[in-house]
Amino acid sequence: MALKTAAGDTSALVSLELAGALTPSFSIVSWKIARAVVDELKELAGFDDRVGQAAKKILALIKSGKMDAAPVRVLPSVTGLVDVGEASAFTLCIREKIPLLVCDDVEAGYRLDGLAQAEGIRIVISAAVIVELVKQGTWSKNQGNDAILRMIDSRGWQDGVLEYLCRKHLKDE
Amino acid sequence: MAHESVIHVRVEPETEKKLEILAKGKRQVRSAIVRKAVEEYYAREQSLNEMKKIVAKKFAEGQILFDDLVRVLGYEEARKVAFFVSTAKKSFEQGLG
Repeated sequence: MALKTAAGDTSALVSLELAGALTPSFSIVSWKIARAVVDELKELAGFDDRVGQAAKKILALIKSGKMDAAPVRVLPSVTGLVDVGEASAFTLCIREKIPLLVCDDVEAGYRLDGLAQAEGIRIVISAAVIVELVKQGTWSKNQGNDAILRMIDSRGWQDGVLEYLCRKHLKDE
Repeated sequence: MAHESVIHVRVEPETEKKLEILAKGKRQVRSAIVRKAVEEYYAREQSLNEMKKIVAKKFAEGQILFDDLVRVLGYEEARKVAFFVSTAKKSFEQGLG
């Protein structure tokens, strides 16, 4: 099965690591990371909390070559729309014709949506990676469900849309 | 007492003047005014986020319509919520496609 190429922003990578899904995703995703996202992860890694720990692990994965990191000059059309991390990840998609941007920042996704549609880039949330692991048979529905619940718990997203969609799509009958 | 940090904030002259007026009127130091302002802003933002979470879930479940979202959150915030719900639903339905 061919790997799907995707660019990840900081929020999505952290969510996946907190869910325990980032390393397993290497069997289905070829990740491309903008240098500005690496810089944001380095900043987060300075914090002594779960997010900081997750950022450290992601940086170690990038350093070990499991994910490609590249410098990106942000396109003028994207500058000022969103923060530099998301802008770089999105520009990377355009420059390298990457069809998928995995982004958990609602505000950023909303602001980039129009441009994304014009450029043929699909914006998905990190849960899509977990769903894909289940679709490809790498994980069972229960494993996917547990991963998303771990993410929800780590991020403080209880009683929200994700929990509802998780119950609807990933609960075994 | 927990360890306190000192932060530096740039403000316009008009904002500094307002801070002075507040501090004088309440007979408090400027730091106390700024601390209270940040605490109150944070609490309001948290309440707003909680409200957004509740209505977003009701919208995702089909219990309310987009017009209802607009009535509660205003048009721009309603569009953001609708975008998130649509993106989340497609992410669960299609995975990475």
